[in-house]
Amino acid sequence: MRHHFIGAEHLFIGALMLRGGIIASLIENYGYKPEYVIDAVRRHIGKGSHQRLWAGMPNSPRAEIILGIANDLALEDGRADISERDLLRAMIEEGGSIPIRIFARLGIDLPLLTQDILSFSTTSAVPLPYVKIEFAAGYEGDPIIDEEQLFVLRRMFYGYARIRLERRLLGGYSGALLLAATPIQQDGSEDATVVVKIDDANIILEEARRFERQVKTTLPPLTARIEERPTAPETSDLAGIKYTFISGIGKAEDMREAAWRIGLAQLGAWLRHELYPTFGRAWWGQRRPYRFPAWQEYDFLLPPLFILDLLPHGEQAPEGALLLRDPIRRERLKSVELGDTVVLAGFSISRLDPTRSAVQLTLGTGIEGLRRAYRVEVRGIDLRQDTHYLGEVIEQLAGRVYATRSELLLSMVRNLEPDFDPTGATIPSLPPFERLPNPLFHFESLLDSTIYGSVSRIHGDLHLGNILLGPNNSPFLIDFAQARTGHTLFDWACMEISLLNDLAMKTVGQSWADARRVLTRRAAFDGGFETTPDPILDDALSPIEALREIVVITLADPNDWVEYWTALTFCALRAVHWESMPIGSRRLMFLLAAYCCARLAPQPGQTGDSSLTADGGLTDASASGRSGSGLPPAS
Amino acid sequence: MKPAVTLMFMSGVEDGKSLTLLAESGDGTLRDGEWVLTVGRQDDRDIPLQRDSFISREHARLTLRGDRWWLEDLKSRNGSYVELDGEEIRVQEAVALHEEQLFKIGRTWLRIQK
Repeated sequence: MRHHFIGAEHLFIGALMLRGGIIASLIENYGYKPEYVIDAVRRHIGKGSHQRLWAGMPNSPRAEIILGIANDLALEDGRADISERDLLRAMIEEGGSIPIRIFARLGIDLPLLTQDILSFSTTSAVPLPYVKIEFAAGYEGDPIIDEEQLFVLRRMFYGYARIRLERRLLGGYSGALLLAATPIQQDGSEDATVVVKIDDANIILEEARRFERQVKTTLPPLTARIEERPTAPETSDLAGIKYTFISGIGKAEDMREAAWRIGLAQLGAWLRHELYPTFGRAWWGQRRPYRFPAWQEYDFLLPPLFILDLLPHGEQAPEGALLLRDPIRRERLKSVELGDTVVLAGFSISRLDPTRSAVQLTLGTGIEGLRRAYRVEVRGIDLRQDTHYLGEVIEQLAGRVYATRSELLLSMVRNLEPDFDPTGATIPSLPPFERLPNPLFHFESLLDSTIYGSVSRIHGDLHLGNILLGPNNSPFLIDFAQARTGHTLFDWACMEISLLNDLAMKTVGQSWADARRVLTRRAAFDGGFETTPDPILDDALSPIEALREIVVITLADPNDWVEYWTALTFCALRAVHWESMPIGSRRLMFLLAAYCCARLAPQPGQTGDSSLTADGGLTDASASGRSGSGLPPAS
Repeated sequence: MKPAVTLMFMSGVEDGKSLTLLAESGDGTLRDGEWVLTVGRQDDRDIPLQRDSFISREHARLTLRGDRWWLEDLKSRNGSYVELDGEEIRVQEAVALHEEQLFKIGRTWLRIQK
């Protein structure tokens, strides 16, 4: 129907299409054909359009409410999964959705329908034996796996006699445990090695959901898949997932390690000619035009808008305090200063941090909240005393601004021990850029700029650690926790961050001078100036050339790099505060953001001098959209 | 006069979301005892409907006169409708809305909450 979201009506149509299902049978008993009812719903809502105004496939708030009620009904009944009956009862209880309105129009009596739905039946589950865990002779990596992880691991391989852990994989920057494991049957025969990921249950379940919805149908024939439902024991906060390799995997080596073995020049060619075409067919290659304000796709990469201190109990917010609620008036955000009182309404909890007594709130509801704009952190909530849960909607909450985003970014930069003044309008660099614009002055107007780009299915966390090298050098991707429909170039901007951190920075030291050297050599790929070669570093940077080719293919307009530089600015700013990244790389990330800002400046060629004012050129360049800004790629 | 109103989305991607507008915090325009709310595609409208491609830039106007809401279409391309006895009626000039009555702006069904 080209609606690009899941609403109550879609859930309902799905239920109606179940042959012999409860609602389809009942509707026929009442004298209607299911097709007639579906048609009535369709007429009421009409067909969507080609143009996309948002990315992804969100659930409507009402669908979330209905699913929440259905989930409660299932839990009351002692089941983990929602049945059709729960869904129908939830829909009737909620009462305001389109299908229920249509029922009223058709004269279907709701209390009677509820009675009829209740007169149907259900089933149950089984216990578990012990699975032995052993380590392979060549097991590499930190052998410490804690009790809880072992518990989940055993659950995952229920039915096998034992499993042999082959090696630990590096994985991403998160705390997930990634292992290559071989399950062994009761009779001693071995099954194919799989990659196991164990992480926080919310993250794992979300990844499984995304895999089902976004990834499953789009994978190349030979690659890693999630074939089974995730294992999420009720007694643990952890859960596990298995990636099965359809063609079998020998060593399970990730690209962060394999890159050095196969050679960096080959890595570039491999990214461009193996990885991109293999996944590109259903992913980045399926681009559709997408016009969006940069904040819609990139705000979530930055620190929260503010950190608030919860007002002491009993204290009222003063008259005239800023009220933040949907719809947000963006210009009002900019006036917020330290010590102001801010009232949040209709935010929901997207992260709980008991050690710091803090919660992170995002505007709106639903699991997509993690990636939404308008994140606020609130301190001073005693999570041991008050019970809060993820996704909980906070109707109203007032707090005093403890720190704004600008201050948070500034302190991130101070943590890098800059050898320059981080509050200045420009920062020092190496020739040919004597000075580069300070990104801290530009990120706000960049967030408000409009991007003329494209939307496609993306991995959402593309880096060398999530790419495995399979037999015959075939590419395997893992970690689909962030897979979604989003800005096509996001994946490639993430990839550039990975190439710089995992490869180029490995050949130099951690100082600012080293970071500047890498930036200058990186910039040389964009052309426009003469430089002296730096053989070892240039070799480590060589995959950038292939990356640039991929970027040119995926740009909405191959002659306008604004789209890419904008994406890269935010990806680089995010990496500035990645604690798992070495300090040298984080220094480079800040310089890279500055370089992108210079590229986004309106005067081509005159990168990085005082011609960029704090609120001057950049705003104009982005307001005028695609014209003029961003240097063309070197031919 | 400190009027306030809550609208609920009744269809589309934002189905089920409610939007509360308060004259006090600067929403809408108060003039001659009337409170006027604009509906349109841009986010500077009082009721921005950015996720519906059938919305015109300046699509419709909701006016509170006394205790009654009026819906007026501003010559939008795809029109505004009210639901009456299960039928969709296109709004030609300003029509009064009764409590909980559904109305459609572009492709999006809305209602004023009690």
